[in-house]
Amino acid sequence: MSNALRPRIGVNKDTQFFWDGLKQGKLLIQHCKDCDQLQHPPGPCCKHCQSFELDAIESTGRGTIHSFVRMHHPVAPPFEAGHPIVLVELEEGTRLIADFINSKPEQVFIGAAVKVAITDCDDEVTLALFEPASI
Amino acid sequence: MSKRTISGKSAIVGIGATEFSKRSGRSEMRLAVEAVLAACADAGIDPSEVDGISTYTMDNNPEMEVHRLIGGKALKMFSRIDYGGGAACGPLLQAAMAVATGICECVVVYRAMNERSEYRFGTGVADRGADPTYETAAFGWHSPHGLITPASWVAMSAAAYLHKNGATTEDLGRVSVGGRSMAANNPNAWFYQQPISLEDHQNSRWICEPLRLLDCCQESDGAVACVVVSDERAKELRHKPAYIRGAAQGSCDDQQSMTSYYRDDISRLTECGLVAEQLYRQAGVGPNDIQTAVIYDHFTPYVMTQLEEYGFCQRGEAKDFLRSGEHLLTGSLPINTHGGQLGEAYIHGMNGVAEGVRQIRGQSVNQVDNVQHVLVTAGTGVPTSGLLLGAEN
Repeated sequence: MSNALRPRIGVNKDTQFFWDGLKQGKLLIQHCKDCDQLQHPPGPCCKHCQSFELDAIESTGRGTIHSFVRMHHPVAPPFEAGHPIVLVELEEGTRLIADFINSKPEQVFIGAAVKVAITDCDDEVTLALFEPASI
Repeated sequence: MSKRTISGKSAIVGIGATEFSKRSGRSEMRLAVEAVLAACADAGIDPSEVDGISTYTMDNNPEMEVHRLIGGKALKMFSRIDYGGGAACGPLLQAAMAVATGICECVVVYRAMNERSEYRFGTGVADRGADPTYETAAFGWHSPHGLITPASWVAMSAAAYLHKNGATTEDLGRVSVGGRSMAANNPNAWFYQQPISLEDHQNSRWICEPLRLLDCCQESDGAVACVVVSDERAKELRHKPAYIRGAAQGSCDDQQSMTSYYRDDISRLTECGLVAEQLYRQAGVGPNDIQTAVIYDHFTPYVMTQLEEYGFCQRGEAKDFLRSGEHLLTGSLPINTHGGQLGEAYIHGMNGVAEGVRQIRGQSVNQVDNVQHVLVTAGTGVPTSGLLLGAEN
């Protein structure tokens, strides 16, 4: 694995909790205390009811591949040509993009079961990567 | 329905362009001025009359400077529409509104870029900083995972579209082959006299699966401009007017910029449906009244989606439309008769507006018979826009 760093992350007051959660080993989903709905990506208010009363729930980290690509060009370290990137639909219903690790080609398909692998990529960046549910 | 409308109250009366290349050898501002002056000359209008200018973001040439350099006297409306290529028809909406409401007499729209020789959108966003702005925070959901380029953002939606609709990468290839077949006849196209086969498409290298090199448009240097005046004045000028029968923008359904992965159905471009509904209502026509269309083709998959959203075929049936060649010059709806951005040049959609005007005038290198209405669409995956041109107002 290359020592090159992944792209840096822009964090603001609406998204801080998500990145702080990963540092604590938790995959968080923003939750509205008024209408009980979830949303990702997070924002300053609930997109469903416009409430500013928001907190977060911890995801089980389980989900399925909703779509995926294999990135070939351009790729710069630490990424490798052909690495799969998936759009995960979590059990809770929200989706997120994730680099898909520890997978064989036949494990990358729409509908495949996956689980989170929270990973300290470097001193600054901790990400919710995903991997096959059974490896 | 409201009687207030922009439909038919203005027309595109001049078009101008530089050559399309990979290295223009001159500044972007010079390209902008050359194209604007050429468009004014084409219209037979003195550039000093220009009193409105509209362009869109990711163009680096300020409206005030273009106006100053063309000898403009009084600039009364200037605007810059967001979301890059998605805005391509937005400046025409601005022009149509400004002319219809009497704010302006003569509006110029332009796009001028050295998008190949001086910078390239295709290299992606991996080296952006880490500031707290909305846009940077939004990139943070994708770029640390390696999803860093426009091609990759489109590929994620495209994979879902192909899976859901039983379409294949050969269907994507049919879009590319079609565009290049049109460009082959266009002396101004970068790929003039260079048609490709479906086999060429299938043999081209992966960029981001399921997209191959030949699913991605070019990167180009060049500029295109158009001149818009009122319908009354248009009738007195030298060319057959291309009346603006409809112009619209659209953003909806959990819209994101290139990454609308959180809406219910990511295989759709709901915002294009929003634009289509407005255009057809403004113009009082439907998809069956359109003889040819310029369908924004930065990447082939979204051409398929747009054919469905703009009503030229049922949802999920773009593959059948393409397989029967309806998009070719011999088909029921020839698209991108200039060669599109796959074949002519990537001028962020403004070259497509110019082709729409040529089809109304009867001046296209791939002229379609009896053109009454032309649809022009704009960049997809982002908040988007569209234009419906008519031979009559």
